[in-house]
Amino acid sequence: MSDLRTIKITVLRYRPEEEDAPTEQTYEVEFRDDWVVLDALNHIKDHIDGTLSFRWSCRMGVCGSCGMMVNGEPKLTCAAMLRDYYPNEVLVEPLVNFPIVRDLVTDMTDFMDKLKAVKPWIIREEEKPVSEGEYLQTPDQLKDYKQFSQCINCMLCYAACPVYGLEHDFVGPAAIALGHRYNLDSRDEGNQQRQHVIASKEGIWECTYVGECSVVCPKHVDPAEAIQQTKVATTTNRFKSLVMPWGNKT
Amino acid sequence: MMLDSETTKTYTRPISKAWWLRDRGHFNRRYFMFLLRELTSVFVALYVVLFIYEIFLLTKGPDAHATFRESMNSGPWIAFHVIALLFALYHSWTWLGLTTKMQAAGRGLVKIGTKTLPPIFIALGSYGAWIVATCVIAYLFLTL
Repeated sequence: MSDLRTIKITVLRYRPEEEDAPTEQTYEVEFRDDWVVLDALNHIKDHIDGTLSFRWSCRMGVCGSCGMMVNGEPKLTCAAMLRDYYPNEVLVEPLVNFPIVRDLVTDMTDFMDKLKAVKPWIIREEEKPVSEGEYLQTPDQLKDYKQFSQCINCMLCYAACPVYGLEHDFVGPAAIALGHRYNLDSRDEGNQQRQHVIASKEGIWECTYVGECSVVCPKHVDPAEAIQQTKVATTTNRFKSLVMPWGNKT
Repeated sequence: MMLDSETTKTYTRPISKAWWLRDRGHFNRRYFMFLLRELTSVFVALYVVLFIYEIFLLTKGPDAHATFRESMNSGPWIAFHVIALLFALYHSWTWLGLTTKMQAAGRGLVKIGTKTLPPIFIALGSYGAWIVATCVIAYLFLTL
């Protein structure tokens, strides 16, 4: 085909049974104009080197599996067009700030633990019987949290956050944004149960507002906004509980 | 994928001390500006120490204070004050700009009824209060 071009893809490889530290390996890939970085990785795996390991699933920016560092920036590789990098070389690395398991695969255990800790689901003090129907919500109430519900757990924000890189206790952008999403949901009553995680030193107060989490977010969730909103809400509630200890402390 | 940390040999990449300058060969302006904002605190703190020292000298009499003021006219001290002022302005400007984050369109914290107050009002309120406070303090210092 006439529109084929060749680009150099350098991949950071780590094979724990063979080496103690990652090394780089360069491949030459013929690509079409509509190829993304993930297409190149699949081409390498299918036709050049079957030992290359990486995660992917949907190919359409929904599953959040294919997040990697592309030329130093956290990206969904299914949304990073090769033509945008050509004729320069592309360097693909696993997401930074996470331990590497193999090649481009990282260990996401820490993120999963933190996500679970913020209880990202609707909590009710008392469930009403199904016969009483749904928990209704107005469009304005939906608007309050909808943006934060778009998170696909791709962890690009953790790779972009130097605070998380330096302080691994930090709950981190996505987990806080998702906790905030449920705190804002009119159907939820679990704010108090999340506070000890979200409003802790390792939670919102660890954030020094670099803002890079929101820049790299492929779904425009804006985790930095969630964290700043939570800081204000937490401070306001703390102040209210001090001056009106008899009032509602939620 | 959940791993058994006892049996899996993972590799954790070290973070360079210069991550805010060049991150894996790429300059990230936002990391740099963030560190610059953190650095502003040092200059603000140094200025506060100097200011407290000046107040302390007031208790030692007019001569001690006048000598101090005279020494502040030297080039290095003027340079220090200019740099401290620029850093203080940069810190204040970015910090107040941050207040709009709590007020994104459609889902802000400050509401009138069910409508979110547009972030521009928060920004104008913050910057306006800052300018008014600065003018009041400047007026008090220059006239009293």
